[in-house]
Amino acid sequence: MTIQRQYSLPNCKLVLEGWPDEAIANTPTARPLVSKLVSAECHFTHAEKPLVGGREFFESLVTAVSNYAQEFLSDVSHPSHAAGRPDLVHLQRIDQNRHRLIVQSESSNGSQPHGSGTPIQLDLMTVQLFDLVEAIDQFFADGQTLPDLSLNLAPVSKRYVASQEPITKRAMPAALGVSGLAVAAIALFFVPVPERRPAEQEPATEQSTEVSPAATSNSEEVESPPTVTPDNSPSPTAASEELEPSDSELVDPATESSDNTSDTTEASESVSAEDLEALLNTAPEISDPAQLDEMTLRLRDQLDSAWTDRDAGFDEELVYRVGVAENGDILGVKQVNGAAITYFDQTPLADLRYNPIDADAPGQEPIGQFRVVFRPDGVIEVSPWNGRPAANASPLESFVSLLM
Amino acid sequence: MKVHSPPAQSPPMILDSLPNPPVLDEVCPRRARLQIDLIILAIEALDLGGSEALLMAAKELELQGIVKNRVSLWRLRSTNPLRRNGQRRPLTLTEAKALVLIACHLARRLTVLIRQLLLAYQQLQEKQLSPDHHFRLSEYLERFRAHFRSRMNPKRAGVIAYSTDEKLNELALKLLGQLLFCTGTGGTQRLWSSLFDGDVA
Repeated sequence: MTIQRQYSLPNCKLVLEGWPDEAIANTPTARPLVSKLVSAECHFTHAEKPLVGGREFFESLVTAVSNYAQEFLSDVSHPSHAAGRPDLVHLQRIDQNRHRLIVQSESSNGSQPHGSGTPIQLDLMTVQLFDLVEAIDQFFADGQTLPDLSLNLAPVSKRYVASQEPITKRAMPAALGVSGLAVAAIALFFVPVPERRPAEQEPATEQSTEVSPAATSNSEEVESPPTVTPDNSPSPTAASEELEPSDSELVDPATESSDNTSDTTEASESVSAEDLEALLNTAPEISDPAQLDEMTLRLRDQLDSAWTDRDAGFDEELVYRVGVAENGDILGVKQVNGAAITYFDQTPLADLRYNPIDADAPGQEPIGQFRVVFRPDGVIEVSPWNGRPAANASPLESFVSLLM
Repeated sequence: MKVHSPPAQSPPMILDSLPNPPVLDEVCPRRARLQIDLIILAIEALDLGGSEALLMAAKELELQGIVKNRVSLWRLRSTNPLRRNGQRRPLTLTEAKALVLIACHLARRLTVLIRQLLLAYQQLQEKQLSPDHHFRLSEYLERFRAHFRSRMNPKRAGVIAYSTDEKLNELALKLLGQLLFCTGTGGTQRLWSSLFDGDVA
């Protein structure tokens, strides 16, 4: 004799019919264990006919609905059901409040991937969807019905989310990198291999605007490093007292111009600039090349995933000097060129930076300094501010390593 | 048998109902910190005595060792990176669990109201009317907007994205739907797991 189990909610009723576990079927208990499913029915008050199916349908239903509920909570899409088996049940978001449940008819012998019938579509409002989720969760919580199925929640892996991006978006940085490398190689072909004579160093070529002073191991050694900021004269490798006047010069014109963002940011920018200055002067600096490399990658990833508004409408590069704690927290940001001030709010830095108000004095925590460039074409470049101490690397090698 | 142990020593059993996700250093990722605070903000917008209720709930769940008072609650919530006075301190998994348990506990009590408001919103949508046509719903939205604007740092890009009433209403309605999911049998587990989507190895 089959046993029926019901899970009822205002908009949805789940009815399961199954066989009791044979081993304990004879022992009289109030609520025997149902271990084998015969049929599952899912009734909605706003639908005429219930959704009906067997074990395959029911498993697919609970998995799809459970995953969709998690997507609803996190806005992160979950991978669909186990590969190799077609999903009988599928959910799609129509808008914030409406969700479409699509059910393929169950294959009778399992040989056909999809049944011959047309799929059933049912639109659910959020409250109706919740009732379905709740009916399923009540079933999961019921240890006396199909105990082999249980609520199995696990956050989606980072790796999966990364691969969700469309291929064009993923290929873009690689394509740009390769073409950049090609351009650099062609340009370098015409440049004679420079001997190490700092005083006569070639003025920077066009490409070197994309490259921070990588070859300069420390600022005293080289007197004229390649000019990094095309529109800003002081060299970035100069000591910090040289940077200060240039920064205040930059703040003034921006605040004078009737830019809508600048008057709101004026006060805090100057404050945070001071704070950053204090931070940069007092905090021990991270100089381990391996650690800097790792932090460079992490910072780039962090900014890349946070930069949503890539059509912000600026047409020159935004250059920033960024102080980063060992754990990746962005502690200070300093605008290097004028556009960097004007468009600061459009960059993810505005959002990711921590307010530097801190009661305990800064300085205990080592920081790494980076040069971050947002290009109008949507590419972010990150490199260590003081370059990489690549003592015996040739210019080409360090060039290439930056493009990787 | 009654044992009075100092609150700091034995972590409350209820925390074990939520698993530790494989995150770095046992601290919460950015999105988790943001979402927890927003969920609580939505509860406060639903319930006038929300902030008082949060502390009461902490007591009821015996989590007062973690959420001791108004100040410590504020500190935990200020790990939300969009806050005006964002705290640059980590939110540990234990602290986050306490906040999630409290939020879901309160959401469960507000189940009837949450359902009513969502149904009202659904009916207004069908008639193509704005949410302002329902008194209780527009009250919720108005309070949510006020809470959000008074507490979030308007200079952050993440806050600028919600500069208009419409955008904030959208966020408030999304959170209302998410709150409904927190009220269910598996609600706490579901909310907890969702906080780490895309942030685990």
